[in-house]
Amino acid sequence: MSATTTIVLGAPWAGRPTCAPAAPSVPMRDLDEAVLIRRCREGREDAYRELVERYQRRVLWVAQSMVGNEQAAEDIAQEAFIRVFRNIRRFDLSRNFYTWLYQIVTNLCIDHLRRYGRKRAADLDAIGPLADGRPSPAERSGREELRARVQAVLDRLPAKYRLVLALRDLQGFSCQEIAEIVGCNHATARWRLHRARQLFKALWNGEPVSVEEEGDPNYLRGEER
Amino acid sequence: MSCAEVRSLLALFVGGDAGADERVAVEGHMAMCPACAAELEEYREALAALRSGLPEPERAPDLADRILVALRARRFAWIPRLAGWSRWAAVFLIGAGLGILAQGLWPGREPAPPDVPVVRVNRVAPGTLWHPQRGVQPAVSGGSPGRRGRPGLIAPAELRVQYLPHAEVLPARSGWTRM
Repeated sequence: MSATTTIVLGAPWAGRPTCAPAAPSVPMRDLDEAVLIRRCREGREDAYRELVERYQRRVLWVAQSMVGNEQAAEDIAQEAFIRVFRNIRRFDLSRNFYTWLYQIVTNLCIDHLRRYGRKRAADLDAIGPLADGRPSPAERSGREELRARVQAVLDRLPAKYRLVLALRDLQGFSCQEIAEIVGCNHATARWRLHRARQLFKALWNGEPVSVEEEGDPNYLRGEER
Repeated sequence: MSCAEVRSLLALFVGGDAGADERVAVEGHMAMCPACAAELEEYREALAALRSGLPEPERAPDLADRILVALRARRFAWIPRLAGWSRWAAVFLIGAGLGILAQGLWPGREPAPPDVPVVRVNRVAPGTLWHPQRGVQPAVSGGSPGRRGRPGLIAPAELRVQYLPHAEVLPARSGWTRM
């Protein structure tokens, strides 16, 4: 018999002994994403909160640029996180979490656009001429005007182009990452980015351009080339 | 490279998405073609407008709270869908199940012993951990576990006894520690 034998007394359901030394706690914000996901699987709400805090602004960003409405974007973000947490046990940890999250967000955006239609694209003429580089009388109203004009141009673009602009030019994803999120191949992602920038530039500068032949405005998946 | 070829590359070039060879060709062309350079400048302005017109939004301060509330609510969202007697039957079954579970699992003991992390005793009769309802034996590691009702003896080893919250310790008697 060994010199020292440890006997742990107590019922098996008694849980961890209170006298056991506590594991050193790491702040949630410093935890690795995979650890956070494992904790979410254990149902820990602090891990849920941390994941929401990490990703909510980027999720809101892409949703706003897709649906053009802050309230709808918040609703989409909320629903996206709920779906993430309800299905997090099925998430494959070898995959990128953000790819999965963005897939859910983009699907919800497309559902929203199909259900409620696109927010009526604001009439560029009604917003007024572009500031032509001249400073606005009030900086705040200038920002609002710029935002409204950008949103008006985005609203006229088909969803597949809006999405690649939001992911590449606003959030900085690579074309390969965009292809994974959207569910197309790399060449298609590049083509969409190319076409999206062409259309955005033309609409921004008031050039005559038709987006009608680009197909279903709310169509996202599939190959066009 | 012709102007048409260069212009077909500008949309990708402006965001740094053109290949290395394409980038060199476009940059070389820009130095000698003001028209293409002007078009590139239009792309740059449009892209800059997009980025400054749609900045990253502020965080929604209560989004996490709303999500957690919605998650909790959805766990029981199926209850209102049950109609009439089935709803009450479901409530009864859940209640009965919880009752059975509580009866089976609730320790029902005195308050946990003080947090004395480690006690050393000379002799221990394993299997004498007493539980008011179940008479559960202690989990024994590293020694010979005694069988319930016929406690074995681990002696004269020096034993380290670690108390868990629900362990109940009876006073030692004649050199034995009974639990």
